[in-house]
Amino acid sequence: MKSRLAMQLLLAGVVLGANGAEAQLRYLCFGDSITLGNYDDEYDVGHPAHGYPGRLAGFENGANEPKRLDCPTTGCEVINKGKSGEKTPAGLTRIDNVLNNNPSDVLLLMEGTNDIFVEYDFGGDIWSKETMVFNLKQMAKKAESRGTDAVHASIIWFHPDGDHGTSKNGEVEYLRDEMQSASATENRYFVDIWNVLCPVGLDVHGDTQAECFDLHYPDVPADDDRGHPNGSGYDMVADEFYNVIVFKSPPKAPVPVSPSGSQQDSSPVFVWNRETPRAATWYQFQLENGSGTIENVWLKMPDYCVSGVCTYDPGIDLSIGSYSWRVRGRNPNDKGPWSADKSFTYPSQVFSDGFESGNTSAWSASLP
Amino acid sequence: MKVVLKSRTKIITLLGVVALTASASAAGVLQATRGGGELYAVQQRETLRIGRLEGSQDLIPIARGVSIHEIEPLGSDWLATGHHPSGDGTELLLLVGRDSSVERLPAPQVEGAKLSNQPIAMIQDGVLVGLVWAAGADMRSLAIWAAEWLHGKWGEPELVSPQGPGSQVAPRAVVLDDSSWLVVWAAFDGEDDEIVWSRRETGEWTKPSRVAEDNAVPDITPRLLSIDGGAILFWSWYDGNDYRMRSSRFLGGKWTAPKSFGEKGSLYPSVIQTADGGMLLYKTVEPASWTVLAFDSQGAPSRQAVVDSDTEDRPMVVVDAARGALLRWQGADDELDASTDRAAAWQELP
Repeated sequence: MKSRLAMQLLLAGVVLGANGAEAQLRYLCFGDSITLGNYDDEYDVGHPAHGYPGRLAGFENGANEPKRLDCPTTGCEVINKGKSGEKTPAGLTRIDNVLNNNPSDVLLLMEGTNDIFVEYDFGGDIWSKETMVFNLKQMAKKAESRGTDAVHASIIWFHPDGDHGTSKNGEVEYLRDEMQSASATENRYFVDIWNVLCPVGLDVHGDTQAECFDLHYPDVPADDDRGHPNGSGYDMVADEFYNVIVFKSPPKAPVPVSPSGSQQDSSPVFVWNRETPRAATWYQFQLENGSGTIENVWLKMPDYCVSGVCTYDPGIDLSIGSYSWRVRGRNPNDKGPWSADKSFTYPSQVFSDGFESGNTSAWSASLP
Repeated sequence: MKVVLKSRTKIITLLGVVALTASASAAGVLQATRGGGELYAVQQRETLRIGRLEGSQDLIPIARGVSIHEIEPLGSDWLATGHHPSGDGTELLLLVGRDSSVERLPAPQVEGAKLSNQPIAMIQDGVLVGLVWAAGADMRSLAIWAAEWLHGKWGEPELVSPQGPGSQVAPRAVVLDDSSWLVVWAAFDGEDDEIVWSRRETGEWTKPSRVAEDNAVPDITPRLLSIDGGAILFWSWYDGNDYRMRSSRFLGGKWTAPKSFGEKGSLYPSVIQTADGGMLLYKTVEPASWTVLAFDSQGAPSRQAVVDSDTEDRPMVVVDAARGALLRWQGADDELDASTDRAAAWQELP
């Protein structure tokens, strides 16, 4: 499958600058009221900086505010599709239309708080955490099937003064651990909000967990659910998304393996080793001969790679000649460098003078 | 949030609980399965509001951390089941309301279980006969338990299903016509959640088994209701792209092949027993609505009403002879009143 993002960039002839990796990208934020931005006490609903998506885009007022993706300058777009009260089984249906109506390059997925908040409480239903993990992974797969990279995120802690006290934070931690593991398995980025707002020990500002709750959750009467961040809490959420999707390195160059040298098969399968560390979610494959490009496609990593080795069968029928191929990876951060070119000839030449056009089946390459 | 006391609302004191300071936290209305759904409850953080359609409401102060899971009529009384915090775990909570008082029943306990929750009352002919619940060390290692209520005391806890390869949640149960107990729940089988069942006959539980064929997708949120000669089960399952409703009838000791129905994102089923059968209430994501499906005493669907609504909060069903099916939500102040009603005409089903 070709990457729509890569095609957009190629067709537009975009030259990426130092901060250009995120230029023109569309980020789709999907989740519940925490994505929507409820209890944001700095920017009202409708303000472009509302919630973490607005902050991630860099719409905050003031010269000294962090610009993060700086969409007003770079032209990127961050779309907020949070829905209050939504739980993952419902999100799994809603996301179809959201993805169809908002074609995007990257899906930022953070949902599950309501599943845990109301499970067997206050009239709510309960389903297993295993099902929650399934639902979130399926949402990511729906995005990837449309050519959109998916990024998972852990959900935030429940404030100890909230309805459930700390009784359900163990469930939040379990879901976080499972999604972190699933993200590694599925080769998706994982944004660990749980470990930022408000972790056991000191947070990134040096505040204790109790201080963090006081500072970054709403200062509202005790009858509130205390399940949302406040404005400064949304700052921290936006920072962590930004740190993961922007500051992580693009993948290093993969290593082509075969075909190489002489090639007997007119329909070769191409094999390369993944880069170290493995960081690419997609690979671009290019095959050329003296006349130009024969194949140029984007391949989704999980569909072509197993245990560090990728194979791709382009299904082509080679004509006689010399060929060169190369691969490179990309992830939500950026594209990586091209691998070294790998060259081969078809068919393999028995004689150095090129006498190979007849029936060579009875000839041996070894001398008597 | 300040509690608004209506003229027909009275506050019932429950001994040993904190002062009444209500708050807004409900995620939906708890409507009784039995008695035509006349009885309902809305839980707030420190208040339980219990009412009857067109009748009075009682406000019962409850301790913080208490969670009410189910409410059912017991004759003219009511029984609310739930759990309350205990140390770093939870214990079962059983409240019986009669006249102007609320009595706390003793609750069965599984020795060594840190968590006990999701209690379902076994009620036969309007009388409490037992309890089914989940208990264990954490939410992924719960076992399913039951106990008989006999002569005002709980019998020894009976193990319905030991700890499995993953979560076992959402037990639901009914007493069948032959006085046997039928229990269903969602159990993770190592790959996905399946709906499983067990039956208690002459004090012995059958080995838990799947209701339907094994699959690789979640089957969740079972709801069970008595019908003539057995029971009918509703649940949500993932069809490969969306959750849909499924139903299966338990007749002659066997489950019928499941039937799938409902629009995209059919979720959160609840059931009400009526004089001539029952009603199923469920939400659909697309189109955004809540559906009431009426079925006869054999479990065959007879008519349905669909109310447009985008909320995930479960409403209660009010049948109005003139207007069809009414759905009633909590208002802005958590009061449950007719100002939130949305009506839909019944559509007869073939």
